Amino acid sequence: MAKRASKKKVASKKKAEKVKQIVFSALLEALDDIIGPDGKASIIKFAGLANKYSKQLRPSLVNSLPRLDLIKLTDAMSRLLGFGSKALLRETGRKFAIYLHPYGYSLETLIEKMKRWIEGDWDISIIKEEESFKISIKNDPFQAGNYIWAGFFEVAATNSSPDGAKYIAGEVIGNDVDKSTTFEVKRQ
Amino acid sequence: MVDKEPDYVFKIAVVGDYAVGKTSLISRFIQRKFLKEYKPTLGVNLILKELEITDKDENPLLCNLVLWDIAGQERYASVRKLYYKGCSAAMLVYDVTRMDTFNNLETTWLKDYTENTVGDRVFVIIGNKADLEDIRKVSTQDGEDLKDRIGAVQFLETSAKDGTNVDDAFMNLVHILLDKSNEKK
Repeated sequence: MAKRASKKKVASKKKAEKVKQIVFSALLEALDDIIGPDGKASIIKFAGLANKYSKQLRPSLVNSLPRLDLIKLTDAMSRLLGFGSKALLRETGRKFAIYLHPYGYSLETLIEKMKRWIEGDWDISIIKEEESFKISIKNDPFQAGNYIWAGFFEVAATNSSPDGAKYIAGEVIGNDVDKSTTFEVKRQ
Repeated sequence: MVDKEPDYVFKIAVVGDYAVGKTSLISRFIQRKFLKEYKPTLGVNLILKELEITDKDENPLLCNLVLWDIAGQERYASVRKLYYKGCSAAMLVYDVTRMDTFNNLETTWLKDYTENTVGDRVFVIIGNKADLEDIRKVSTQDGEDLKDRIGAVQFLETSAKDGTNVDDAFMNLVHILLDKSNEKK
């Protein structure tokens, strides 16, 4: 019983936390590109959000939506798209980055913006090395969304490259103790 | 929804030409209803079905079917190859009243599936709209011959409209996949 009460508390806290609408609009646009309008509708329906997200959202930085909805959406993506292959999640992450910053913010700038746009007890840090970036996320706001982030970082890092070099996200290392995930995004 | 980890998860791609009845077959299987109006699928329809079944020894099993109802539009051609990744099987569907949809199974859909998957490929052939006997263009024997020629594990004629063989089409495939999974253990 106590366990259930505590779960409820976490859910209600996450419900109170907000995410800028631009994050939802970019993610849903990305899904539309990768799996089409019906695929996007399937994800929204599976997440139990059909009443809320069936209409197209404007990429607003003024309006905000519950963080819990983002968790439900990314969980649905992981369960429906991720089985057997992470390639679609990665591809969706790539498109997500493009829709979030069509004019190509640098990786550092985009990460700063994401921290502001997604409220909550999560954190993201970046260490720039000569040929790579090491990016660590604590309490990932995307439910099991490692591969969405991998695609996202690849595009953002490539945009940061002064000579246009491509970047690829390599091994993703999860740490259950401090609930962090580390990505190494390397120059190709 | 059952709050338990599934014993098995099978991703099944349902493919075939436009309007052969892929979405209708899935709707009949999942929702027990027939879609009277044709609405082309844009991209994919994704459906997760939780099945409580028993194995050969009557042990209960929870099996999740992730059905990928894949449309054939050119717009998604570049990402479509990713749709097949991780598929346990494909259901190749044609319309018994349109010979072109039958011919395209091998030249288009089987090719698409085999080019974009690796390992042991499992696929079944479904001749849908079998209730339209008066305007049938593809005989049952044609379907049987194709099954033998291309090595499909099953051939069935179905009707999403009246439900004939629809459950069998999906459930037989699930049992074939279960058997194959157990062979590997």
